[in-house]
Amino acid sequence: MKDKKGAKKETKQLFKSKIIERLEKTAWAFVKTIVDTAPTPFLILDPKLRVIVANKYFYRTFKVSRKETENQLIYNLGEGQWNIPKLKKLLEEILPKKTYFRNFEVEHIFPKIGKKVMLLNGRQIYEPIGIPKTIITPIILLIIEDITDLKKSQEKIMLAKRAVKEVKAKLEQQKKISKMKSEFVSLASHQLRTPLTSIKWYSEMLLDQKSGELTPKQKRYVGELYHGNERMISLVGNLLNASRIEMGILATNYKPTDIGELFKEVTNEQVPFIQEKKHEVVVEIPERMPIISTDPEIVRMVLRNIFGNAVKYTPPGGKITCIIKKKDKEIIIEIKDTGIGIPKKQQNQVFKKLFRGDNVVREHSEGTGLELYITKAMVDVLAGKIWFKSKEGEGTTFWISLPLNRRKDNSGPKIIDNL
Amino acid sequence: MTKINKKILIVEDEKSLLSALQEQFTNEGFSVVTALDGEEGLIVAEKEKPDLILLDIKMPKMDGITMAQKIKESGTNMPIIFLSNLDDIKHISDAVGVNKSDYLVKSDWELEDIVKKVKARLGQ
Repeated sequence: MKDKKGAKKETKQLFKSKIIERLEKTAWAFVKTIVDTAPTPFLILDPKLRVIVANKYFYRTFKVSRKETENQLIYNLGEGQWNIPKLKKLLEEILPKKTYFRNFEVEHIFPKIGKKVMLLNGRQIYEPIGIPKTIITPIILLIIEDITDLKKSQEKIMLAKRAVKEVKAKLEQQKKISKMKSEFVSLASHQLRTPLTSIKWYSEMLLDQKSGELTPKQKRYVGELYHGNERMISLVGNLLNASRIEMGILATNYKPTDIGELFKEVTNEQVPFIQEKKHEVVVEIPERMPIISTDPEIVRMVLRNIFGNAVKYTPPGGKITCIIKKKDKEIIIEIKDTGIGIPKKQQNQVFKKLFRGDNVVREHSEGTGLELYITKAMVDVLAGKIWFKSKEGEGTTFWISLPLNRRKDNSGPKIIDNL
Repeated sequence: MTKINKKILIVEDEKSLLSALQEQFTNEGFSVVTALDGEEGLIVAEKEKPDLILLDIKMPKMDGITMAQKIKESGTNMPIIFLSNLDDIKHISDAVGVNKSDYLVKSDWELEDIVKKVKARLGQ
């Protein structure tokens, strides 16, 4: 009886273990499918940290084979490449206490694949559903996410952000320096001009003789004083504008501008000199002139210089012809004189700093040699062009072209807007 | 000397320049009142109601551009001619922007021509 009972129990036991075995097999198949499908490297370890199974992604990512992985102690895998102190601590100290760890970042240099940054997640699985703990051995799931590329791009983004910040700070600094420079030049200009104005006005009042008649000699002396001072004023103006250009602080203020009207104003300013020299001035402006976007004050200085030179360097009784026209996307201003012209061998230096024509110096000792240099720089600032043709003794024609609309791709000197 | 029935206010902190301007305009028959800074200029403008203001920019207490703005805000449409030795585009455009005022760079203008400019502005 006893034997029979015992045999029955044995059969029952066998049956039970067979069911468990089958269940276990099914469960394993289930787990393996999940593990293999997941697009993240997975390891399943036994409690002694030997690899039970790894998924495809693990093999692919860490370039190891199934043979050299399964049943190996994790630390011995791939010539000890997983013998990482931080991982050891996670698996042996933290996992037994907490049963899991989450998102631990580990950086490690692997002999085969180089430096990798990994995000580790681990969990002890004690109680698979429906299977008693005592029978099935607890397993450890280790998920190893390769975040090297993510880290790299994060780093790149951080570096880019830092670079942008640095550039911004630098620009801010440059703007500050430009503002300081510009304020300095304005102050210098103001301080220099004030005493010169005083000399100008008081010598003018003396020459008026309203405060008393001057002897011819006195009149000549005061006249010299006045003219010397005039030269000083123009020198100061030119030097300051040249330094504004060279410091890159010539501010611009774009406005809708009628070049025809502006040109008329400039020629009107010169009327006393035109009359004095008995020049004939012809101005051709088409009835319908487009309004262009430019800086009228800078254009005024440019036209004043070129037209003023035509008046000044043309012998008495000369003819100055000015034609303004629209061509394509530009306004072209032509100023033609019958003046002394520019010597051929000096023509390539006209827009250089301190240029003075040899034939000009003979008759006009004053002048700074800065006017045409400044004029060219100003035209550049406005994204325009200036050129000329000249024959000594016959005359010079200057052309200035200005874009109808403000150009963004200005290759001229640096412009600092509205300091 | 012909008397012109116009009153101008000259606001200028540089005494030597103020005195030259004052003398010139008085000689030309204008009635002239003066102030040495923007603050004083506002008070004088309010009290004297000039026909035109010749206005310097860089001055102690209150600069000319601020003074012109305050006059504009008060609703008076008084013609203003800026007369300054500041020659940069920034100051010129700021100043001209207030009520389309004229802007003369002092050292470029003779007293005689300043008088002509003022007369033209006053329609004389």
